[in-house]
Amino acid sequence: MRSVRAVLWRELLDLSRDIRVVLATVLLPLLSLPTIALATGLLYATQSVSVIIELEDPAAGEFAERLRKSAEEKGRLLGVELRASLGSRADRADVYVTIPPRFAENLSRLEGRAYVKVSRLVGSSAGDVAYSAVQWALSEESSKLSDERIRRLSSLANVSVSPEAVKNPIYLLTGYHVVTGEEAREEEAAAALTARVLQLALLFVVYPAVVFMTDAVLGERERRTLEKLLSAVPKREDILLGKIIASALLGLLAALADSAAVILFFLLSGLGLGVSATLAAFWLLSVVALIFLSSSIASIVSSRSDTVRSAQVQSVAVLSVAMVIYFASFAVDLTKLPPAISAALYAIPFTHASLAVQRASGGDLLWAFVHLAVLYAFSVLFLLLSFREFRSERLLLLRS
Amino acid sequence: MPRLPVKVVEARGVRKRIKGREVLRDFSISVERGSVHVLAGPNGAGKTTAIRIMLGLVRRDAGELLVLGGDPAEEGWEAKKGLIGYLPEEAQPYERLTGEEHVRLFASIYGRDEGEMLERAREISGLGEALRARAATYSKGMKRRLMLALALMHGPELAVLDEPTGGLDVVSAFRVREIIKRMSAAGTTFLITTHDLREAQQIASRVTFISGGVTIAEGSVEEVTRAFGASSLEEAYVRAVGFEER
Repeated sequence: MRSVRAVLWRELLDLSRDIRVVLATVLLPLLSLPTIALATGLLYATQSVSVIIELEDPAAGEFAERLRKSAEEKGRLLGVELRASLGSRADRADVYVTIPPRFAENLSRLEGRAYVKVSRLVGSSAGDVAYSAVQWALSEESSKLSDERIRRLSSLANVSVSPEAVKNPIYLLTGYHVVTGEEAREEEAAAALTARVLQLALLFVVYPAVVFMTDAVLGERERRTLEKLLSAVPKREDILLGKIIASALLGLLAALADSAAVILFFLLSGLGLGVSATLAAFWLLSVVALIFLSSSIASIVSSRSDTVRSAQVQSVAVLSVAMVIYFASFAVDLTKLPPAISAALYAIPFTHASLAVQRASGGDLLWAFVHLAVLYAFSVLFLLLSFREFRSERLLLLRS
Repeated sequence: MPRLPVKVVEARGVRKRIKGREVLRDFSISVERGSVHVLAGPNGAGKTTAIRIMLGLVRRDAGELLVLGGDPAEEGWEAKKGLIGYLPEEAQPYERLTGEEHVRLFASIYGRDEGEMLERAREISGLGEALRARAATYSKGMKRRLMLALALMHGPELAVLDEPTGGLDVVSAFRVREIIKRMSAAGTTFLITTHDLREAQQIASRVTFISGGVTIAEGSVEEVTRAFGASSLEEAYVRAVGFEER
C-alpha cells in the first residue's frame, strides 16, 4: 500500500497543478451547460419577430384587429402589422397571415366555414415563434366563435348547454403510477424525469475517467517517466491501482460537476426535476462503479494497444459505446426492448448503470440492486483484467 | 555478515525477439561487485533491451540470468527492486513536481526516510536550492542530475545507468561522470551503457562489447584493449566489429 499511496499522491499533486485540466473537467461543464441554457433562452426571447396580416376582406377589419392584438399579447417582442391588401412581400416578414375575401360573410353564417392562410419563412426560428403566436391567437378566436354559435343554436333549440361540453365532451385527466401499480406522487414523477436526465449525465462520468486513464498510462510513457516508476515500484499493480484511484477521484469530481450542470441545464430550460434519497444513492453507487469500470477498460486498452494512436482510437470507441447507451436511455425505455436486443445490451457493462438508476427512480428496488450488482461484478472483472494486462514489457515496447 | 556474491550480474546466452526481430541473439555479461562495468555498443546493438531484461522489465526468450543472486523473471524478484538504482535512457522528471517532491516520491516507494534521502539527493545531484523548484524550470543537465540522484540516493547495491551522459553538454557530462566516480569509490557497483567509447575509457574498470545483439568481447579495460592490439577502447571496438558494418 506504501507504493499505491506514493503513486496516488504523485498523480493528485500533478493534477492539482494542471489547472487547465481541472478547469476543463470540472468548471467548464459546470459553467458552460447552464450558460448555454440561459443564453439560448435569452436569445430566443430577444429575437425580433415580424408578422404581417394582409386583409383582403374589408368587412373582416374588426376580426383582423382582434387577431393582431391577441397575437401581440401571445408573443413577446412580436411586431404585428396590419395592411389593407396584398403587398409585394418585399418586407421579409417571418409570417404572413392572409384574411381572404368573403371571410366575414362565411363566419357570419351559422354553418359557414372560413379559412385564414398563414405562410412562414423557411428555416426561420423567428418564423416558428411567430407562427405559434398566430396559431394560438387564431385558435382563441375560433373557440370564441364556436362558443357563440353553440349559444345561438341552443337558443334556437331552446335547450341549455355548456359550449365546453359540446366542444370537448371527452377530456383527459393525467397522472403517473409506479411499477407496483400504485399512484405516483408528484415528486416521484419528477424523480423519474430526473432519473432520465441523470442517465444521460452518466456519459460525463465515463469521459473524464477514460481520458485521464489513457493519459496516466500512455502519457506517462510518452513523457518518459513511466520506466523509472516501473523499475522502482515493487509491484506493477500498485502503480495501476494508484492511477485508477486518482482517476476515480477526478472522475467523481467531474461526475458531480457535470451532473449538476446537466440538471441546471434542464431546470433553466423549464423542466421540473426532483431527486429522492433513493435515486441519489443509486446514482452515486452507479457512478463509483462506472468510474472504476471506465478507468479499468481504458487501462486495458492502453496496455494492449500496439501504438499510442491505436489506443486513442480504441478509447474513443469505448466512449462511443457509452454515448450510444446513455443517449438512448434518455429517449428509450431500455426495459421495454425485445429480448434479443435486451440481451445484447445487458452484455455491455455501461447499460447496467443506466438501468440501476432507471429502476431505482421507478421504485423497482429489487431490479435496481440486480443491475447495480452486475455493474459492480463487471467493474471488479475489468479491474482484475487491467492488472493482468498492465505489463511493463508491453508498455515499454509500445510504438510511438 | 553474510558473504555477498562476487558476481552482481551473470548472464549467459540471453536471447530476445521483439516484434519479429531478434534484438538479442547471444548476450552474455558478468558484472563484478564494486566495478564500473560499461556495456558498450552502437545504437540498436541491444544495450537497452539487455538492461531491461536484467531489471525484470522485459522477459527473455532464452538463456540464463542472475542479478543480485535472483532471476528477474522469477517470482520474488520484486523484493530486489529496492537494491537496484536505475536511470533509464532519456528518463525525464515530472515537469510539475519539484526536485524535492521527486525525492519524497521515490523515498516513499523505497520505504526510506525522506529527510535522509533529501540530504543524499542534494549531495549527489549538487542541485542545492534548485531542488525546491519545479523540474520544468531545470536545464537538461539539471534534469539528468536529478534523475541520477533518484537512482542513487537510496544507496543501491547495483546502479544501472542507460546512456547517463547522452545528449548532455560537456560540463553536465563531466559532472555526471564525477558523480559516478565518487559513488564507485564509495563501493557502488555500476553497470553503464554507452556508445561513447572515449567516455567508457574514462570511467570503466570492466567492459562488454555488444554488436547486433551478440557479446563480442568482455574483460577489464586493459584486457580488452590488449586483446585487439589497440591503444584505446574505441580502437579495440572498431577492430572487434570491423569497418564493414558501418
